[in-house]
Amino acid sequence: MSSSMRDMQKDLENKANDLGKIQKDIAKNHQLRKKYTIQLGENELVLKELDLLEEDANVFKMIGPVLVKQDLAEAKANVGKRIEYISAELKRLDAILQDMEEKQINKRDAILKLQQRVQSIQAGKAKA
Amino acid sequence: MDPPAKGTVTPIASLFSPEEAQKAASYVEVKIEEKRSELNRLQQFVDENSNLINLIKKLPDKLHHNVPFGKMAFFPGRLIHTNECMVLLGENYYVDRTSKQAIEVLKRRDKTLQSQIHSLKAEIDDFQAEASFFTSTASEAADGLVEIREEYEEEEEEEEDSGTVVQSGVKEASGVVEEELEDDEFVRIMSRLNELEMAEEREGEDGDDKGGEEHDSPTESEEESEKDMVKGIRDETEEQETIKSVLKKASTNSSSIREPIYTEPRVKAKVIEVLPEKHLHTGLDDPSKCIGRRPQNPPKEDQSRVRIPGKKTVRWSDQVTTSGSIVKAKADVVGPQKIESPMEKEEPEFDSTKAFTGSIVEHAHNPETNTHGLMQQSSGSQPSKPVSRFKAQRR
Repeated sequence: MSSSMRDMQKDLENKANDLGKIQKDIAKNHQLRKKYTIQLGENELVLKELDLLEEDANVFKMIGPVLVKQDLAEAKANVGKRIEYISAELKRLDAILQDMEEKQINKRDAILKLQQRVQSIQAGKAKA
Repeated sequence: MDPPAKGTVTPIASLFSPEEAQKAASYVEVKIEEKRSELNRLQQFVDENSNLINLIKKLPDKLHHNVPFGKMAFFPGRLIHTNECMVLLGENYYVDRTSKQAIEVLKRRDKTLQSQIHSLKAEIDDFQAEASFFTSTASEAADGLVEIREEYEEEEEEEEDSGTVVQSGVKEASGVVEEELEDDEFVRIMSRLNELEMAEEREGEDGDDKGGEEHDSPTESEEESEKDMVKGIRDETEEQETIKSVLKKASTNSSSIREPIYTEPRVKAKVIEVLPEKHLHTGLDDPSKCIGRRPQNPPKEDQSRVRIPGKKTVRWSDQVTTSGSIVKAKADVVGPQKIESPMEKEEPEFDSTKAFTGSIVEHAHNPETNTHGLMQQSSGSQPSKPVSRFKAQRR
């Protein structure tokens, strides 16, 4: 009896740790997503501005300490690609997040069940 | 951000809700603070932006400016090329722009900032509504603990489940009042009903056979006048329309006797709840009139009486006249009992025909009635059923 109780306690602890890990991951995911959404907004702004520029405008890109002159068309293509990449990344993060949330719910249910079992056993012991 | 706050409240038993609701409220408050700081940051950007626009506007006014040379040392420097700006678009992209073009860029940026601020403000409003909901829930829950009413607790649970602020508030208030009103009114009404029923059975059936078509025209005109009165008092045209339609249907379906009944409900300021209950009773009772009337009568009478005090003396008089006319047509006994008896007969049938319309009307009425106190009385007269319906509809 006591050994099974100990096992259950251990199981409960493990599961609680797993849940904590998943929650941490979700928080990380949230932060990453926030970062990407901000970048996406910035890139979209840049693309809008670039679209408004006339053909012969001088466009530079700061690479490290130097400003490198870039072709306008090239700059537009780069920004467009960047936006694509970011949105793809966001989608990926969304999928991961959903997956993790599912896992979280499952874990939580499992933990709840385990807790109830432990409690019922303890109650039984107290009566005995 | 919101889901966690809501989540903490929902699963909790009603007894524990006050603290939890308080926690949720404080959590939302924190969120609001965060949003506020964000808003301040954005506002700062906007200010900087407008400053920059002003500066860039001024720059090309002169060919060159004398300025302090950097932060390091104060010695005269010269700003030339005053019409050329290197604009950072973001993501490390820079563009050569004239100051005019730069100003345009800045203005566009300002627009996006404004839209962001706008959405942020809306978000803050949302959070504030949520916070007020949680605090109100908390206080209500606390009150509930002190008062200990069974219904009250049930309502609380419902509130938490539904999670809507407005609904919860209305429910609780109405529920408490209803309970109080129910007992007194119910006893009175029941005694009254018994008298009426006796009278009804004797006279009513005779009247039904005789009354027939003659009653229709007078009652209808009365109804219309009553409608006008109602309109004047309340602007709820929709309700009236529904009522009218109900009346028409009733008239077509049922004999003249029923029509007067319909008018009465309208006049009484549309106590919606009464109708649904009647429907329930009527559905079973209609085939056998005698049986049906008795159960139905109590609720109706209660309602009518209840309504009269709440609604204004004018209406009461109207009702009396209509009932009086009906009685005359029947050429039967005159008296308080008679007046009520026609109403009773009519109502049950009416209910059966229009069960759905009655329920629809209820929604509109409920808020009003609750505020006025009229609804509460009516609901009180109908014991257990009204409450359950109330809840179901809300949900």
